[in-house]
Amino acid sequence: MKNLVINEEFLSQLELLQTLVKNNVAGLFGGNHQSKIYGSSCEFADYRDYIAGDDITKIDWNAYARFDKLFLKLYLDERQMHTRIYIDASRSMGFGKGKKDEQAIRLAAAFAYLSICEMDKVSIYVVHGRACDEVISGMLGKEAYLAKIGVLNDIVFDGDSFLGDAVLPSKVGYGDGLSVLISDFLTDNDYESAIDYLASKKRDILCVQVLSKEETAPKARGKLHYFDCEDIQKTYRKNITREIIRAYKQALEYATGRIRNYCLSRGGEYMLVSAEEPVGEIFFKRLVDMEVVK
Amino acid sequence: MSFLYPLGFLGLLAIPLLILIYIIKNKYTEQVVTSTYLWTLSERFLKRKNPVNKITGIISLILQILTVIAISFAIAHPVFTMRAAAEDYCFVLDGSGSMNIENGGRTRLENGKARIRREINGAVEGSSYTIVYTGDYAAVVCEKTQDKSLALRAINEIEPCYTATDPADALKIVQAYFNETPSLKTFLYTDKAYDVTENVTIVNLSAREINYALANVDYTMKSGGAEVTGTAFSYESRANLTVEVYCDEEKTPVSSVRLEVEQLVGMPFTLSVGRTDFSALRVRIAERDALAADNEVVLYKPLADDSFRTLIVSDDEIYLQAALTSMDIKYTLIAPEQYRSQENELGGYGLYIFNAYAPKVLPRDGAVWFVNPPDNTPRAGFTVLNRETLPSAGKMSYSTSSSTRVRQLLENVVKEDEMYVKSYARCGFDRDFTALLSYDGNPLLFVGANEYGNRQVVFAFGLGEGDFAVSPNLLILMKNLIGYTFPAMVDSTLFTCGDVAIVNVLKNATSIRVETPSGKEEYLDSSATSVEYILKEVGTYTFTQISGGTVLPPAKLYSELAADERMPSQTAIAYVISGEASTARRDGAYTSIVYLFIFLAVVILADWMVYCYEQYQLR
Repeated sequence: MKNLVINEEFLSQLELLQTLVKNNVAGLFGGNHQSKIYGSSCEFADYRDYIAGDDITKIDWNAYARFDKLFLKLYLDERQMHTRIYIDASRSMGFGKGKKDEQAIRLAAAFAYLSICEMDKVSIYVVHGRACDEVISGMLGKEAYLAKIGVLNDIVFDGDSFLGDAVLPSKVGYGDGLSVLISDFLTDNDYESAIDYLASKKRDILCVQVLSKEETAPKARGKLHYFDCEDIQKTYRKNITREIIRAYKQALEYATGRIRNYCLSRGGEYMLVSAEEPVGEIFFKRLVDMEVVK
Repeated sequence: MSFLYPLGFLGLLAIPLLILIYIIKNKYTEQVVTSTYLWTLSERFLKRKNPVNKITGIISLILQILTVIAISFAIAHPVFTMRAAAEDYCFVLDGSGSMNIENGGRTRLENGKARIRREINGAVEGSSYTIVYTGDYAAVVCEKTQDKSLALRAINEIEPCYTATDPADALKIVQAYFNETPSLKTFLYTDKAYDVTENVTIVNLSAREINYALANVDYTMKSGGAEVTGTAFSYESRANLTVEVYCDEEKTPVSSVRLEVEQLVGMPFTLSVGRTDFSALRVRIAERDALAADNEVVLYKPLADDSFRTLIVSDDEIYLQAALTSMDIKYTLIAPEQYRSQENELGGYGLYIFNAYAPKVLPRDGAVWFVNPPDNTPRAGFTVLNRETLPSAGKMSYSTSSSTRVRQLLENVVKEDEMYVKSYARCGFDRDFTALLSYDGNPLLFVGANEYGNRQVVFAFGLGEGDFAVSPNLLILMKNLIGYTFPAMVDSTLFTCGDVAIVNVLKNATSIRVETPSGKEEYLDSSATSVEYILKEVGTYTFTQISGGTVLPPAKLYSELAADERMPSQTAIAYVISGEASTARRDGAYTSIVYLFIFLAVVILADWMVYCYEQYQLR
């Protein structure tokens, strides 16, 4: 069983942050996020003519005395966001010394906590094969968070994963928050359709690619015959030389660049995370730099 | 192409082993990784346009296999039989006297040298050349060299000789080379006709040159003159020849005769010389031919020193007195007592003969004969040990030595004539003596030099004891011993080229100079009583000795061309190099395995470079 490495102190530091959503969300419930839609917050937005049936408590009587006409006072509405976190639970995430699975869980927990602190609802999904299992559904409030977040320890990383096939049939909401995809994206399988789908649902998208150090800077040399942990039929047999390592790094750059560009083209964000990188640094530095959090 | 050591290809068995090792050594390490996605993707970024890169992984194996093949090839020692393949040449050049026969301004020897030069210059690079010269001796002048210039220089340095040649020695040398290299191509450049040949190509250099010759030329003194006899030959055709005789250095012949000589049939001639005051007679054929060396013979009078005085010290009439008298040698006879009383006064004799007497002091100024010495004489070089008297007469034995000296002293002696002795003085030698007669191993007649360097003859028995005195050998031996005691500078004046002339060292001679027909000067050892000298040239040799600062009258002898060399084309002999010849040849470039090993070194070096590059790549 994996142990969560996020302690109380780290969680309390996370409270200081709040997610920054580029677009104002259009949630159905109130929250700490201002909406373009006029609502019931204390922040004045505008006036409009009274229409029969409007709430008479919102009539500005001072304006009526001045203009002799009924105006309705409008306030910016504050909506509740629903953060949906998708964890790629394929075998490649949990294989080897890289501990990408632990990093993925840590990241998911941290994103969830941040959303909870913002009074948002949080759902966490695990993608296994073509299935998208909701392990935490609509979690709200810190008490619920502390009670439920432990289930992430029970996630089994095995088999293959098809993000596109898994996300498309699932309930992703519409324009009500952030969708975080945590994966190594080391696959030929279609994940672009998932991003497209989320984008079409007006979701804010953040793709977090978790790679181990062995994957970003492989040290293997010599004659090696590699077998893919997810599919033993996929092999790679070569005398690993400097030239090949150079080509590998070019391939890595190409692969990460492709995801980044795809995300950006769909209005999303992308972040490459090392499995060994401390979560604190990820949130306090990189996400802040990216203005995802502040 | 063939191989000298085909078993060397067993080395190729190492190739499967090499491949096995390579497979084991180069087994890929299997490893499960999170994803092969990026690795597979990296293929797109590899620069794999050069198809050679596909074999980079096995370059090391390829180089090693090439190395094994090359080493096996080298051990197998390939011998190529290509059209222009190199050869191992062996040129045997006959340098005998007949090779001096001229044709077109050049001798046969020079023609032979030119032919060999042409052969060497036309040979494929990488061929090897061995040159064997067979003249008065057989010698390898150049051995298995591939350096053409070196071989050509060796050819140029060969000089002619005038002796007869025995091809056996050269044949032995060539046979040894042939045994070593059965593909040896042997050429014999000669003017001899060989009936039977094997594994050799005879290059006959004779060209039917006109050649005349004189043979068996001699003279005898007659009353008021001399008579010259001899035989004239014409080898290639019938000819009319004029034989002339010249006295000394005169330009006009004193006598001549015109001869009709049939081919190969000797025509005898006799010429009279009406003079006796000559020191040499030069007999020559007036007509010119290709070989001048056999057209002239010079007959020199021997310069024997017959002006000696002899003192005989004896009590009795002895047999040798009669012998000396028969040889017209004058002597003085005194009794031992008289000699003893006048020992210090007597002197100036060329020969002292002591019969049954041993003087206390050995004469210093002349040769000495001891006959039946009763006692020892200091400095005589021998010691009388005791006197032996035989119960019955014992047969004397002649020396069986083949030395020139013994042959000379026993010349004309009838060895079948048995001689017996009854008593003798048993002698021991303090110096080197040559025994001519002996009994039961004890020397009875021996010659040598005493401590004063004078020649000495010792009869260890009384001439009257036994039957020696009545033997016909007495006079023959006496003549030979007198000749030995009073030697002329040379014993004979007419030799055949290649013969050994004995040069007698005259009394107190300090230097002996020889002037050869070609004008070369040599000096001989004058410390011995005689010196052997090999005559290698045709013509007149002049020997000059210096005694006491005085140059003695020179002695001359003539060395004529050997009979076999005058008519070489008639020589019918075999020249067989036994063994089975191989037709294998080789390419010059592959002659030395060194090149192959250099190649191997390069391959191994390349292999190492590949290995190092791989290690660098794996850094």
